[in-house]
Amino acid sequence: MSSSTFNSDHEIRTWRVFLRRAALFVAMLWVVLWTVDTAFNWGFSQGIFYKQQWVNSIRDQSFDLVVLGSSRSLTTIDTAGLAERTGLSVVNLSLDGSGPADQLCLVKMFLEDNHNTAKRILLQVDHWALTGPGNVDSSYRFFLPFRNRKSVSQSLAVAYPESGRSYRLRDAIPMVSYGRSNSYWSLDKLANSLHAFQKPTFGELGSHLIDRSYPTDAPTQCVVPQVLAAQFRIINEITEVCRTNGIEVLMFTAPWFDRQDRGGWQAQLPELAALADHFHDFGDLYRGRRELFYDLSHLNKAGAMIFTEELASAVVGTKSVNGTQAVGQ
Amino acid sequence: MLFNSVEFVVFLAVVVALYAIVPQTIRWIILLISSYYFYMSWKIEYGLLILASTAINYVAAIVMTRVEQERTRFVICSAAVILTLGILFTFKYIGFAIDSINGVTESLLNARWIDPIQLVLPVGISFFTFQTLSYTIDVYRRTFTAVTHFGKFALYIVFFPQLVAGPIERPQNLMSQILSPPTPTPALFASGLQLILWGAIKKIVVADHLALYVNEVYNNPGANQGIAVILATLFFAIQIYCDFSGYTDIAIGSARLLGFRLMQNFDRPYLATSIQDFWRRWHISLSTWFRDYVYIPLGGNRGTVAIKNRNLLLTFVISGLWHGAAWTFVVWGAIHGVFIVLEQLLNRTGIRFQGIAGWAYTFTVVNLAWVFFRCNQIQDIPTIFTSAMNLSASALFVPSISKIDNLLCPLLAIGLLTAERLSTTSCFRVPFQNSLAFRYALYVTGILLVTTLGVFGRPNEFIYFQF
Repeated sequence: MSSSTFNSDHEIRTWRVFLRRAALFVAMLWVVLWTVDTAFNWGFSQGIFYKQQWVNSIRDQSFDLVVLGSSRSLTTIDTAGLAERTGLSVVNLSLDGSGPADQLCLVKMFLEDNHNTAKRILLQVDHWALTGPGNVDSSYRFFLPFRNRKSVSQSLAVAYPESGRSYRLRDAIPMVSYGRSNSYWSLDKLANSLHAFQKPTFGELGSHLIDRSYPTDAPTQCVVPQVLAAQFRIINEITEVCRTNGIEVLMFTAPWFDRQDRGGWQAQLPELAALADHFHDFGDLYRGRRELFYDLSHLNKAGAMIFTEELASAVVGTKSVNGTQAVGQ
Repeated sequence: MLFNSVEFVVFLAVVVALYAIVPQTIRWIILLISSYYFYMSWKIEYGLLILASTAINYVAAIVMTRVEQERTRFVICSAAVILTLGILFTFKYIGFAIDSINGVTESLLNARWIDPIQLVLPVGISFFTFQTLSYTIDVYRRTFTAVTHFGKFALYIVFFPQLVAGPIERPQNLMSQILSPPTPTPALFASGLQLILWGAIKKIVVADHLALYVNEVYNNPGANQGIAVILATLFFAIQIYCDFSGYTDIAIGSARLLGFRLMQNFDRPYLATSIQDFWRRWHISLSTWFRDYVYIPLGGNRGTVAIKNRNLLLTFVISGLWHGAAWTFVVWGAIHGVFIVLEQLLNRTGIRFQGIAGWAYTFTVVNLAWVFFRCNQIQDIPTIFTSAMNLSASALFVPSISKIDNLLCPLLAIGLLTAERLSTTSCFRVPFQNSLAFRYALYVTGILLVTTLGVFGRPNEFIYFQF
């Protein structure tokens, strides 16, 4: 403060006392917020309501087949049916609303943090995952309780090299990140993480089948724009993580009601397929069959049942890269 | 730059730090620059608009002090008032006026006379216009001496803590502090921080949560029935109080960090036992402004009962129109006016509103009037009232918002009212004043409430910013 601010020594002393108390309060507040932030991290990591939490709860297990992708592999695959048809142990890690960056976090958490193993991965990709620059806000929100883990922080740093620093800066003040995401990581979700009174929307093996029909007045065409190279880098990172862990990569695109403007997509397919050991494009498999969809990009329960059969045949019929038959043969 | 944004927190911290560092003689420059920066952060052109209003009234006041003739002084004052109100009318009411004229010509002649105009409403224009006018009229009335320092006068108009939504200050209070700046004291500084935190809780935690429920019901009239509509109206009463008084608390708190004391704007309005009492407690700076610059010049209490009641009714209709350029606000103002006139008439017969009956009557009328204030257009009113009466089809929960938000709304509303009530009792006051640990515990709890229950990431402007 400038000297003219104070009228007397008494005032200076009063301000000193005030500033000392303020400093004490800030220090105390920081400790409280840090404690609450840490408690939130711990509490949320106990839950299984969100897919990320559920994936975090799977530890030290071995699977023949792991499904990974967005809502288009969460809702379009009957995981239990796939396990039954192939005779394999299957788990579906697909996360609704996720992009490649989130899937990279999931697979690294699953393999590196939680020491699970797998023989094959069914990686669902589509243009949505490849045409956008990714959403750092969304990724950071998805993995907030796990953000201090090496697997997650490394994945986010790889996916968002430019904006990662600002997120780390935000974390310098505890609870700020939870404040910004408090509708997703809310107090009721914390209570639910500790007491599990609300069940997750997905089933035992990770699928979420939706028994709903596709309204006739809904839009029917999905225009596929040009694929961006930036997301290839992250898909490549996922396949690299899998290879490092000895996992064979089967990549596929899930069915669309009516995929349009395939020129851009088709042109990119060879490059995308080169990242995988096997590639299956199921995009047009049920084109125009309204009874099998609940919207233009998601199969409904009936669609998922018959698509799972198709997928099972593809899995079983695919020879692995090392020359042996597909697992389960 | 909204008060409920990180940008404002950083801005305020920088301004307070600079204000403390620089010599007292140039502090007004820091405040003037930061206030213009604050206002122009919405739109750079706004700076020119407020500068124009400042220049008009500065010149008018200076000229009035140099002129002795009452008639000339009156002409100068009137010219300044007309020009200042002209700016307000152009930006706020011209679209409404054209729409209303077109509405009449369309119904009578089946043709539109004037092409519609849509101008962007500058934030806080109604507030700074009224604050400017109070200065010019007070100089004309010789209740305040014109300020010769243009910079300090400009700061009076644009002082950022209360620029965009009040309190609408009088020169006797704010200008006097600008001319002889008070020294910030630790006690005032601490009370400023307390008010900012309390305001943030009211706005971010309570008002923005209730807005989820209220917006869902009022933006989809007819979609929800019975109790949900009644609850939405009650929630809106709490929402608008928390939104506006939360803003005011942050404004008063921010000013206190700089050593300034702004006037009180709210005094627990929902405890009022008559509509007249309500207006002594709600938006006090506006109701006293209307009393001093509209009601009294219209004749006030002078004249017959009929004239007095006409003055009252007119003042409230204008007050409604001040809030927004729409018929919904006019009706809202008129309802308050009509009930105040009725109360005056009953008072003459010896019937007075007081106690629990007075409170119940006031709360009911205020809530009924809020329906007009909140609805998106006057045409929604029949649907809203019909839906509210359809109790057989009613559900407590609004299905389109989460169950937890449905549950939180009543809890937060009751919690807020209880906290306000408790804060005046000695069982709260005594430990709050004497125990540092108690205060710190409350502050930490408040900050945790904001982080865990605050609504972030949505465009949650303050309701009164639109006025």
